[in-house]
Amino acid sequence: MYKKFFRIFLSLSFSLLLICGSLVFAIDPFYHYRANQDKTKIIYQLPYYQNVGIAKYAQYDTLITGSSMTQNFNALHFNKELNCDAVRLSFDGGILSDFRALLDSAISNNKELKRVFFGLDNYLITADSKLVDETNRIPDYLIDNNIFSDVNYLFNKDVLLKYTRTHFAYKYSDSYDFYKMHSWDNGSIVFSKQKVLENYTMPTEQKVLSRKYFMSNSEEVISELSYFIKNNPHIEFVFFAPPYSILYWNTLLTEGKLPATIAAMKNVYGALLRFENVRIFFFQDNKEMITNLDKYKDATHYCSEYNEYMLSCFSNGKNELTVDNYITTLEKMEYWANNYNYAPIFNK
Amino acid sequence: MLFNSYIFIFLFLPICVLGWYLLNQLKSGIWAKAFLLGMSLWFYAYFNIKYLPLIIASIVINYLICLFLQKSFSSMARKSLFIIGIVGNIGLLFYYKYLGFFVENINSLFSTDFFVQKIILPLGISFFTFQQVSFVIDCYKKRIYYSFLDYALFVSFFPQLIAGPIVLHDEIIPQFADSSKKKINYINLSKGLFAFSFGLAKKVIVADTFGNLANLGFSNIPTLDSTNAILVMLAYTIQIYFDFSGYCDMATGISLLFNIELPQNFNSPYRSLDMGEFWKKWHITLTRFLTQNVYIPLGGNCKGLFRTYLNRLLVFTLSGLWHGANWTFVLWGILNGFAVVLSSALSKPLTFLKKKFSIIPWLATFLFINVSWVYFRADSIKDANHLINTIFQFDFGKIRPDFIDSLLSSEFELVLWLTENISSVFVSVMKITLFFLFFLFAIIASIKFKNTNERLQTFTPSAKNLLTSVFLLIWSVVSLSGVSSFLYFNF
Repeated sequence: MYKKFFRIFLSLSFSLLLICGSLVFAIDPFYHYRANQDKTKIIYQLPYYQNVGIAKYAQYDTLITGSSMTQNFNALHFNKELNCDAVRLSFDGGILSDFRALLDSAISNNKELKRVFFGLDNYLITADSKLVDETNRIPDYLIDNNIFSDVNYLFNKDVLLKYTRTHFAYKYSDSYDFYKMHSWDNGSIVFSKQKVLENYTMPTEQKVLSRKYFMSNSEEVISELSYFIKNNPHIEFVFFAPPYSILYWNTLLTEGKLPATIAAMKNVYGALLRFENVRIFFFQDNKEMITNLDKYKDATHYCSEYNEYMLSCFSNGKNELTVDNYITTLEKMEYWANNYNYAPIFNK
Repeated sequence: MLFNSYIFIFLFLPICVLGWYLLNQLKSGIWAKAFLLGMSLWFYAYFNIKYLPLIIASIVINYLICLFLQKSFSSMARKSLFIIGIVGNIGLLFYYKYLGFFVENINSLFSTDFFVQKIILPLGISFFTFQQVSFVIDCYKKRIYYSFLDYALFVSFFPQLIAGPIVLHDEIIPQFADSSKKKINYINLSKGLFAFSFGLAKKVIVADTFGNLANLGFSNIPTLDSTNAILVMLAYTIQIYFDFSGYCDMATGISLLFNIELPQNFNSPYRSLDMGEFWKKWHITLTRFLTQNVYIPLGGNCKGLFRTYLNRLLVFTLSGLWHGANWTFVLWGILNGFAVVLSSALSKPLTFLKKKFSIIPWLATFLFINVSWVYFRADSIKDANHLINTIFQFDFGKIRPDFIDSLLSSEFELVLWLTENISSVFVSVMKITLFFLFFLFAIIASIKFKNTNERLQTFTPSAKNLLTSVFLLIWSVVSLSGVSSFLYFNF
């Protein structure tokens, strides 16, 4: 009897695990094994879990990526404006290692890739990778090319009970639109000066950091990005600095980070502009845009109208930095941020 | 390596069990033991290979000390060797576990500026040190001889290596030598898988889920009101129970797969009617170690009432410190010591209450356990006091939505999804109902349900046991991995 118990225990457990694993493998909600080349049929639920898979298997020639600053870009508008086949794969709060994994997957698997639009946030340039919180990032099992680690995916309760279910729910929903997924300017967000000021935490004055403070961090960014740029001369890399609101600059100035940030940006922009396949667009000095707080939901996040404006610039070349103008542009930005009269913003 | 990991369940454990029985087919038992020792060291090194030499050195040195203690040296020489053995073991534990804490306190007491590099605590050091201390003591008292392989396997045997039970040499080593235990025993294999499945489910499904709520609460103490503070306190009481109970069940089950019986370490402690009883049921082998090696040498209960109480307080203070290098643990130990002394001093009225109104002493004990765990879990005494004060402010508000979400994992979401078509009001009612049901289930299970040792005593290879254990195993295995739903409130 005990022998029978033991044998049935093992065979039943093995069979049930096989069923669970096969189910996840067959549905593959994170596109770890395959994806429909037709992007509209891709069910885009979790960027951190799916971006690498989508980048690997989907068909596209233009990749749009970056943080939440890029989430309101509509790839269809890129297709129309720039005559391309674009896909937007953003990481809200993304860090360098997330983008490294994405670019690695896209470039090494998609021979059609011609252009990458990359929202190069200032925090990416200044962040110390050793201090960055590595939790809640792309899980290793999706990027380590180790089939044994796939057990984390195949025998995963959340995937099995939740994401396979929601996969089908989206799939059979009439309102599902791949291009609108993870775009947060969806009508429910309020953009207003009042809201921005309500959510704004007044910074406390701190000692001014030396200009070299973020230099080693920026060197790391240069080395990471240069690797992809240098090895892929056939791909055009279009970086852009998103237009944060004037309050972002107030914070930077008060916390003593303005000179160090500008110095790190100069370092990165200078290094990247040396490559022929790089273009950089700078929207942070557009005073009209950044002082209009009614177009923001907080100190940094702007409405999709600004994304549309940036797209038009990508097309007509406005706001583009060159080797000749990037230093003066950044110096003017620093001077302006230093001397701007911030007080009236807070007057009721 | 953790018991609750894919590599342990899918790779390490099957290789280990297969290898053990295959090598036991050989005439000499040495190969099977050497294999199990090697696997146990791999198990240990998987956490941090840097500490592998430490455990090996500790085993070798203790073995040599015990070997020399058997020689006919003068009693002075034996005593010196014995003291070296004890001081060496405690010194090692002090260096790795308490040096930082000690220096920190010296610095704040005398305004000095001593600096020690942060030392990563080698896993299981508190357990294998105590195990070896008890062996050195026994070797000093009587003649004991084991081969090095037997001794090394006794210390490093992986089911008990990192979290106990603190086994005695004469409980384990003779079992490794017993030839009847070298053959496949389907009764033990069945019982082992059954206990492992229950233990894994306790750890992964219950403890880790309540751990989500406890972690959220303890990292946001200032934002809590009385309702949520009570829930946080209860969640941790449940988490630590199912965590330790689950671990002990898994250790018992895994050992049975090798035909080895470990001493019982956990016996439904939340059923206790006083704190003295609690400590006879919670971490039984630690209580046994401290009683034999600290309480009795201090005089136990033979030197009058005052000394008995003082000895108990000392033992519990030490027990607190053993659990962790922080004043929170010391205070937790002292609180438990006082509670044990009090339950002993009030034994007469307590006996009456236990007979007539057992709910009263049970409730008092359970409440005390809850409060004392707050000091055990909090990062500082200040934090613990803050949480307790919050409860007594009687500021009862709504249950925080993030607390509800932290407890309602995918299986609950599935239930909610199945009911969402009925009405949205029904879903929110269901959500709160499931939340409370889970709390209620966990508390009732810890008190009323048979514990795994009790289940093993009456275990039969029935269809019910088969289906329950397979279901729990599969449910637990798929719960080992999850998906984080990135809560960037500000994108």
